[in-house]
Amino acid sequence: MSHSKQSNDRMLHAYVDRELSSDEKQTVLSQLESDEQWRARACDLQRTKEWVQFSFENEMAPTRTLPRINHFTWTGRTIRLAASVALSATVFVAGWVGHGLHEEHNAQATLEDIAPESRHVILHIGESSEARFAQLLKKTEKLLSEYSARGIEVEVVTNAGGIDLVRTAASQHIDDIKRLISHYPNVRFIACARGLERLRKSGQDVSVVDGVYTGEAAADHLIQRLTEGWTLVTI
Amino acid sequence: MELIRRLLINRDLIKTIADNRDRLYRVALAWCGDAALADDLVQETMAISLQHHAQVRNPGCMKAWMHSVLSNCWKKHLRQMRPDMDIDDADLASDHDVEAACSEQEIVECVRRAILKLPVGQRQTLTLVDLGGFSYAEVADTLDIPIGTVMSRLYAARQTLQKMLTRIRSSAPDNTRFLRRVK
Repeated sequence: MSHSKQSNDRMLHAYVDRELSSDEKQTVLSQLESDEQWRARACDLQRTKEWVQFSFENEMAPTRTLPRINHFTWTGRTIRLAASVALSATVFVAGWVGHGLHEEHNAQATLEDIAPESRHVILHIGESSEARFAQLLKKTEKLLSEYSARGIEVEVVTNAGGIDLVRTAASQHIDDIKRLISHYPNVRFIACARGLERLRKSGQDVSVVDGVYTGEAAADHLIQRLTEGWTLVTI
Repeated sequence: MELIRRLLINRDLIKTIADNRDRLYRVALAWCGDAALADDLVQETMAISLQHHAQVRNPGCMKAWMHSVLSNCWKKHLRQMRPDMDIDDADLASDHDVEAACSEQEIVECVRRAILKLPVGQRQTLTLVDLGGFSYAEVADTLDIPIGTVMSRLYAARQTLQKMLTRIRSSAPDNTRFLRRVK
C-alpha cells in the first residue's frame, strides 16, 4: 500500500472515530463527495467499527455485586483487638443521613429501617450522653441477638464525646461492653484515634476498655465502611 | 462540611464505578475471549477501583482510569501465563480458523475470534476505541503509549478485521443473487 493511501486511510479512521477537527472533517467530506473509492473505504471502515460494537453490545457482566474491600474476618485475634466504641463526626453523619442527629425519633426510625438483608451495620455515636449510651448498647445487643443467625456484623463507632462510652475513666458501661465483646464474636467497638489524641493532648486519661479498636480515625473508617455498603445507624 | 463533601464525592465515584461494570466487561471479554476470566478481571478492577478511587481527583476521569486498571490487571494475568513475552506484541489467540463456517448468523462469533487473533496491543487499542468509546488521546493515556501508536495500532487492527470480513462475505453463500441468465 502506498504511503499516500495509508495516510488517507488513517484520515478516514479518524473520521469514523470522530477525531477530526472541523477543517479536517470538511476536507474529508469534500473528498468523499468526489471520490467513490474514498466512499467505499469509509463505508467499509464504518461497517467494521459497527460489527465490533455489535458483536459485544449485548454482553453484560455476570457478577452484579460490588466486591467487598478489606473484608473483616472475626478471628480470635481480631476480636481481642476489636472492642468498644469511638463515635464519628456528628456533622458527617447528620449530613449523610439527611436529618437531625439529635432527634430521638430519627435515631429510632433509622434503626428500625435497617433492611432485613443488611448484614453489616454500624452504630455511631458522637455525643457524651448516658441516655444515648444506654440506648446504643441496648440496640447493639438487640441486633446481635436477633440477627446473629443470618451472620450480621456490627460495629459500634465512637468519636468526639461518644468516646466516653469506651473510656475507662468515663464510662459507666465497661462491664456491658466487655460482656458484649466476649459473648458476640461479631461485634466490634471502635474509638476514633483522632478524638483520643485530642483528649490525650488535653491531659485526659485515654485508656479504653480492653478490646476496643483505636487505630483509625472514625470519619475515615465510616467512609470506608459506607464504601463497602455497610448500613449506618445514628444514635 | 469537609466530611460531607468527601462523602458525597465518594458516593458519586462509587456509582460511577458500578455504572462502568458492563462496559469494562465487554472490553475485558474482547481482550481475553473468556467470559469467566473477563468477569474476574472486572471484579479485580472494581475492587482496586473501590480501594484506590481517592487517587482520581476528577470524577470525569474515572472511566479512563478504571480502564487503565483493567489493562494492568489484564497484563498481570498475561505475565502470569507467559512471564517472558512482550505483551504489546503478543498474540495469544486461539488457533480457530476465523473464516471457517461463518454464515451470516455467525459473523458475530467470527468478529470476536478475529479480534482475539489480533496482537494484544492492537486488540486493546481497537476495543478501547470501539467498545469503550474513548478518544485517541484517552487511549494513549490509558495504555501509556504515544497517540501515534494508538493510530497505527488501530489502523493495523482494522485492516486485519476488514480483510477477514471481506473474506467472510466472499465465502458465504450468496443468498441475494436470485437472477440467472436466461435465454
